[in-house]
Amino acid sequence: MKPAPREKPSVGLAYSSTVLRFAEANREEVDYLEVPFELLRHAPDTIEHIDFPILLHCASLSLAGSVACSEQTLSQIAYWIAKTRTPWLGEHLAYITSKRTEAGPIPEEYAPGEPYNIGYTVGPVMNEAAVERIAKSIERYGGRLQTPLLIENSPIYFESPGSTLSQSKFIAAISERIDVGLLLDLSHFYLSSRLIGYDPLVELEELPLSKVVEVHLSGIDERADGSWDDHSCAAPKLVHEMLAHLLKIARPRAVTLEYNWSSRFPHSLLKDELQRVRALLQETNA
Amino acid sequence: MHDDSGIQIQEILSRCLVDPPFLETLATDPDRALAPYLLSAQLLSELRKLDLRRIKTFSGFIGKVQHNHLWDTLPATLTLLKRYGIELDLFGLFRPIQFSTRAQSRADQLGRFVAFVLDYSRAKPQFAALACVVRYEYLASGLKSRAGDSNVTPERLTVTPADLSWPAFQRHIPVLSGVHNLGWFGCDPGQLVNCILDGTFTEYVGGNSRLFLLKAAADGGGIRCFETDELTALMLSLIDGRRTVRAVITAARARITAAAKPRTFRDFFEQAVNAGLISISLGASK
Repeated sequence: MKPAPREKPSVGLAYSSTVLRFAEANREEVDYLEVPFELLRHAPDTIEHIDFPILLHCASLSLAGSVACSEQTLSQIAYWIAKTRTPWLGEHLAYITSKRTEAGPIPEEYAPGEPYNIGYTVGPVMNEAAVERIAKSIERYGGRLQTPLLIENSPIYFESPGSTLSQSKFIAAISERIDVGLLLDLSHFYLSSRLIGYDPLVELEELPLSKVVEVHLSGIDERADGSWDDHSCAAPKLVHEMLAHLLKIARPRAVTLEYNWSSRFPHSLLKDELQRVRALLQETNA
Repeated sequence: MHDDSGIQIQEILSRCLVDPPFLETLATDPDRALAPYLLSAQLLSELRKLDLRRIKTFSGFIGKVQHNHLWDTLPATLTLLKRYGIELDLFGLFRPIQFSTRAQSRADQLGRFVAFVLDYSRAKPQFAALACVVRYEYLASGLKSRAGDSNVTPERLTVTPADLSWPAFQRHIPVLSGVHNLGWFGCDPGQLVNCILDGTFTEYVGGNSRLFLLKAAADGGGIRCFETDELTALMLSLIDGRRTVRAVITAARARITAAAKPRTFRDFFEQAVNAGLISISLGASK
């Protein structure tokens, strides 16, 4: 496997079995596949079928949580970092588990005695204490894994009590506190802007854009009760505009299209989206 | 603010997302739900103002994402849920069942979800198409799985029934070709699913229940669906690969009151052979 190119931004796809079939039939369109660590941990044979450079993505460190990632999981992540030769590990700036300090007055049937495991990354309470806690986690895990960590902005679906910082300021504060790259998910950023009510193109510039290493794009499900991340449809026009804006001021090394939730995502659309991003990279000389 | 307050907030939010009864209590009796947590008056006040409807929808969203694998088996069902705008509400309502079935196999999870959707749509005539489609796709997925697992090709010389005399014909053994299943539907479910998936579905026009036969292609790929009648269903159910034509006819005549003459059943066998439902071979007994 060849390593991901450093100079020219690579364009890749988030893995699914359907996406792999597309990639195999359109090798000239796909520079790499982004594969979740969690998939490789549970289905290690998957790697045998992937003949593409791999970017490893992760949701298991729970960087913003209070439950330390187990040594067993860290060892497995380290194993897959080495095996895939990923140039970095993208991890959500979020928590996926929480300590259970109080069972409460209501008897629980769900995983008694275990931490709450949400099974999905949730954006954290954003305050100074969290900045400090997350910076320490990044330092600890980065040292243990011996590979650059990128932090990915989560979509904010509701405002957490206790938050005192905007997401941009929160990320900037972490970036000031510790040297860490940014995996900028533009669709997540757009979703957060919908909830908070800011202009995403303006707010984008509040982020430490020089730290952006990788960019994510995915679809948005616009509903009466809000907007939601959706990897089963193409990114809306505004997200592509955000990418165009970003490319004028930042130089990411990779752009990943996350269209991996539905086995029915049309291959023709995948191809169109890849070509659209490549055309944009060409236009902006990124 | 106490340094651990953000962690406590995250613990409470995590619990909201994995413990539906706790979320309900937080909505109806927040003092009781929050009593065990040591929080400042300000945070308690912020938690009481939390948009719990939004949290509940977010929980449904997580449930939806965790069921992305259903796109492989229930694509039209998920498309309809999205079209009706009830996707997240429905997955939110399914959360307690999802948690109770966490350790079960994918097949069990699928069965529980289908049962839930059927139950949900039962008393809602506006979702009649949903009930029809989820039942059809569930039957179809079972057929595809069985077709993929079974070796149904008889290792016997097959013959064309029209070439045989009536006495010789009766000595032959009918064998089912591939796997099939039967179901009562208010419309042609195969056609309905196709319309939903190709985007031409406008509205559901149901009528009296009719009997449909679903047949899986030998390679487990596609499903053919056609309307049939109860006599055909009975005859097919009696074909077990061991009974001769004569034995099948005798068994059928024993089950129907207005028993027709044996020779009149010949049409069924000939048509079933032509439709690819069965083959006729020369058995051991002559």
